[in-house]
Amino acid sequence: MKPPRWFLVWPAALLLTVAAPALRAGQAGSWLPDPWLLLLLCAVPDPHEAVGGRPVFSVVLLGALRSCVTVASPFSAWAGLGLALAVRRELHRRLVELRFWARLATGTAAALPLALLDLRSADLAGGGAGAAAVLLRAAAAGCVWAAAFHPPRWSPAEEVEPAA
Amino acid sequence: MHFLLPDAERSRRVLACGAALVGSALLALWPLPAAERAAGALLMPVAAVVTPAAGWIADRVGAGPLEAAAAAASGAEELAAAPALASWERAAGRPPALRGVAWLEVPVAEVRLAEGWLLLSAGREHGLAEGQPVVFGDQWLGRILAAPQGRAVAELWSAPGARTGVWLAGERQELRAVLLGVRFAAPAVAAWVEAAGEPSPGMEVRWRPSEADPASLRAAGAPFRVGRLEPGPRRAGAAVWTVAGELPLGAEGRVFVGAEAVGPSLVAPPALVRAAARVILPVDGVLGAGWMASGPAEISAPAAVSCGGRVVGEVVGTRGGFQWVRRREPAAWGARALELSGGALYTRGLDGLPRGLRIGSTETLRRGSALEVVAARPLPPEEP
Repeated sequence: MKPPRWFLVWPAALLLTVAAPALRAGQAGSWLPDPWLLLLLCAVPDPHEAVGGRPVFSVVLLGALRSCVTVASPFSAWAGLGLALAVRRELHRRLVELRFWARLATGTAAALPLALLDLRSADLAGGGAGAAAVLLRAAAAGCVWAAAFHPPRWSPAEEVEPAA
Repeated sequence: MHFLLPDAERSRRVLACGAALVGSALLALWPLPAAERAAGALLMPVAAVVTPAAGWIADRVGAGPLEAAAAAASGAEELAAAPALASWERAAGRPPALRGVAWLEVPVAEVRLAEGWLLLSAGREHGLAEGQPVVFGDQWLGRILAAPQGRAVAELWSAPGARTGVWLAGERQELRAVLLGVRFAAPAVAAWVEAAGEPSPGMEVRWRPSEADPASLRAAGAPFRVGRLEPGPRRAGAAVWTVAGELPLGAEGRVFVGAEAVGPSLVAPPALVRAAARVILPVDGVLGAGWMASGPAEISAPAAVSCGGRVVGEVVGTRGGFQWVRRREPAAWGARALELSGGALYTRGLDGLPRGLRIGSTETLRRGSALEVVAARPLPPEEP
């Protein structure tokens, strides 16, 4: 899977950041998956991409932008987003991601560290964020990952087709 | 260009990234103020642009309902007639007039029950001195332990190790006794009781002046009550008499200190500082509508944010030049609020929040709403 170009990721990240509070304030806002997490999974689509370079830069950039519109600590964002990539990498090695449920499990598990760190941040900032809503956000992120990021299907026809 | 073999280089990167991840996770779970400050300073240039832009978009998309604003405004009018907490404390805590003693009214900056202390926000410049009696109404609280410039420490009679001379007043007899504080949550123990009579449960315990007290206090007899005598657990076969210590609710806000020589003013200045601010981001992009960002307010250690004279939330963090505020509706303050007759709610002054701020609704808050950031007036540093 080819990663998107930086000149697309940067404006998308900025746009998502300034729109996120408005989205969160909406009717179904508390259930929406974390937009920075989804953008990170988009920006680093290959789970086996080499550690460093693009993944690290994406985590730092998106974590910094996320911290501009939330009381949650930037360390929470950096740790949550970094752990999301690490969890996805480890699960991708172990699960056959051709099935929807496997991808759902991978996506949800990848979103869980960030969700749990958000809960901790909310507790530190006076409490009151519903655990159910935050965990459902993780599940929603898993659904989006499962629906949108399926690997290319193997086609026997393409495999046996003789080279021209 | 790699200076190590490819595998070694990869391991080094994995190790460095793993260490950074673990470090970040630990800082997220158990924040260090210095690290948070450093990260906030690093993000300040980005936040200065992004946060107001996000607030502008949130305001355009989700304008607050006008009906709610009108309802909140009418509620505010109704509450305005309620007496202020300071007036209530003053009325409830004014000690009996004693000839030759002036009662200095001093706000309490901090209640430290574990140590049995009250930290007062005025010191020797206000006429406070070591050994002066501290009371609230007719309730004896203790004595001034130390009174440097700008602050004073009042030791409660139930503080660990504090000794207080008392009268045990029964129907037919009056006995002298000395109370010894054990710890604040536990009742003080009658360490010595005059052998002239036998104490009985329910005897009224009243403060007994010592020889070192001013003549006017000694002449007044026993004007202050301490509590009631109760039988405690038996120790080595002997009965132990105890007196439960309880701090009156109003004494968490202000106390009265008896002095013979006083300055021009008997009331210490209010212990609050305020700075103007505005709502920058009315909703948190991650945690939702319960939090908001306000700024810019040049104030150290901000504690609460008020709108139209009503507290709408407490400051839970400062980052990127903005104060992050936990919005609270009146019902959500719970034990941290005091309700006076008339329905007015005030902050009780716990957990670093200043006392006596009127609590109001957050429904009218939108981007650009004028706010006041409130902080407790910083006390001068402790003298060595």
